Amino acid sequence: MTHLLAMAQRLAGALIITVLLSPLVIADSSVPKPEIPKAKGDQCVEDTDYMRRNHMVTILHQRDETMRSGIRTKKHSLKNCINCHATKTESGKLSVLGDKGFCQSCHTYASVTVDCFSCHSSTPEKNADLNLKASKNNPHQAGLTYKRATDLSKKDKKALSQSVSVTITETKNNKAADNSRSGQ
Amino acid sequence: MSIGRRDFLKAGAIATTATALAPGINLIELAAARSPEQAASAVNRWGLLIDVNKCAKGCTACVDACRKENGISDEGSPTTDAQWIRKVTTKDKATGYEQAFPVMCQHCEHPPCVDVCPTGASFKRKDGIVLVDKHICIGCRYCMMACPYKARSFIHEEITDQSHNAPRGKGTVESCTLCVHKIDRGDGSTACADACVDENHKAIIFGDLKDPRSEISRQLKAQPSSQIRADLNLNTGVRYRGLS
Ligand code: SF4
Ligand code: SF4
Ligand code: SF4
Repeated sequence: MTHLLAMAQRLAGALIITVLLSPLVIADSSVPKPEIPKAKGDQCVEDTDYMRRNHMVTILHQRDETMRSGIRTKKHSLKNCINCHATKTESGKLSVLGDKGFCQSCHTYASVTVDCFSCHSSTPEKNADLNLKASKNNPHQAGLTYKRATDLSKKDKKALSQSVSVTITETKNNKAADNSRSGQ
Repeated sequence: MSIGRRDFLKAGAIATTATALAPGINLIELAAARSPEQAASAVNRWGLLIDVNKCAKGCTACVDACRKENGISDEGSPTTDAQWIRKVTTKDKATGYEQAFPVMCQHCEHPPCVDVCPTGASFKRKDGIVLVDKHICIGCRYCMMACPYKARSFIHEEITDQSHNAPRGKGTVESCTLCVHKIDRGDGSTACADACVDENHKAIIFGDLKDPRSEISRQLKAQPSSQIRADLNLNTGVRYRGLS
C-alpha cells in the first residue's frame, strides 16, 4: 500500500514537471510537418483547402456511387487521385504510399490510419489517361465532365490529339461483342 | 427463361423507341455506350450462356483469364485460395459419361447471399450483377454458406499488388463480378468469354438477357437451356446449354 502511494506521488510529481515544462517539451519533440509532394497538373479537382479537410467525404460519396450504381466519373475517383498524386518511392515504384508518399506522409503526421490500400492498388494505372492539358477533358477543371475517347466526335478527337500530351485510344470492340452483333 | 412478362415488354418498348429515334442503333449498343456518369439500370440484365458441349476438356482458358483480369493470386493455401470461376466435372454414374464446364457466381435474380447478409454488403445491382461491397463486409461468411453454387471465397491473407480492375483484401468475401469494370466501360464482354473465343471454343456468350435482339437472348430462344439447380427458383443470370 505504501509502495503504491509512493508511486502515485512520484507520478503526480512527474506530471507537474511535464506540465511546467510543456512548452519546451512540445517544441523539442514536435513532429516535423510532412512535405507534401507536388502532383501532376496545375490544379486539383477541388480547392486544396477543401480537399485537405474533406477528401474523405468526397471519395466516400464517390465510392458508394461507383460500387452501388456503377457510376464511374473520373473527377472524384480514387484512381484519379492516385494517377495524379503518385510519386516515386525509394524502391523506384510509383505510389501514394511510402514515407514521403502523398497519402502516407500526411496520414502519418495526422496519426490517422489509411485503410484504402489494404484493398485498392496504391499505384497509378498504366496508360492513365490524365488529359491534363486538354481543356475539354481536364479533370482539374470544375464543372467539366469527363468523356470517354469513344464518346468524342471526330472533330473533338482531332482537336484533342493536336493539343499536348494526349493520346486517344479507341476501346476496341472485342470479339464476343462482334459475335453477338453479327449473329454467329 | 423466366424474365417477367412486364420486364420483357418494357425492354421491348425501349428497344422500339430506340429504333424509331435513331435507325441502326439497337439496344445493346445503347447499353454498351452508357456514359460514366450514368447509373446501371434495370433496362439491362447481364448474363452468360455456357455451352457445355463446346467447352473443351482440359481447357482452363476462362479460369486463367479471370485470374489475370482480376488479379487473383495464389496465397499458398489451395483449400482456401480465392476462386471466382472453376471447372466442374460431372459424371453420370450409370453410363460413365463425363461433362466439364465452368461455374462462377450465377448472378441469381433472387440471391440467397443477399438475403442472409447481415450488413447489406452483398447486394444486387439494378442490372442484375451480384456483388460484395467490401467496404462494409464484415467477413462473417454467411453468404458463403448460403450460396448453393459455392461461388464465393473468403480472403484469409493480406493481399498486395492488386489489379486496378478489382480491389480485394483480407477479411472480406468475394466472387465473380461478371467483370463489372468491363461492363461499365462498355466492353460488352467478360474476360472469360473473351478467352474462350480466343481459344476458338466460343463456349461462353455474354450479353443482355432483357434485350430480345442480343445474341444471348436469341440463342436462349432458339435452343433449350437450363439453370444449375433450377429447382431453387433463383432465376440465375448464368445459363447452360447441353447440361445433362
Ligand atoms: S451464385 Fe451464390 S454468390 Fe452468386 S448470386 Fe447466387 S447465391 Fe449469390
Ligand atoms: S461475409 Fe460479408 S458479404 Fe458475406 S454475409 Fe458476411 S458481411 Fe455479407
Ligand atoms: S465474368 Fe469476369 S469475374 Fe466472372 S468468372 Fe468470368 S472473368 Fe471471372
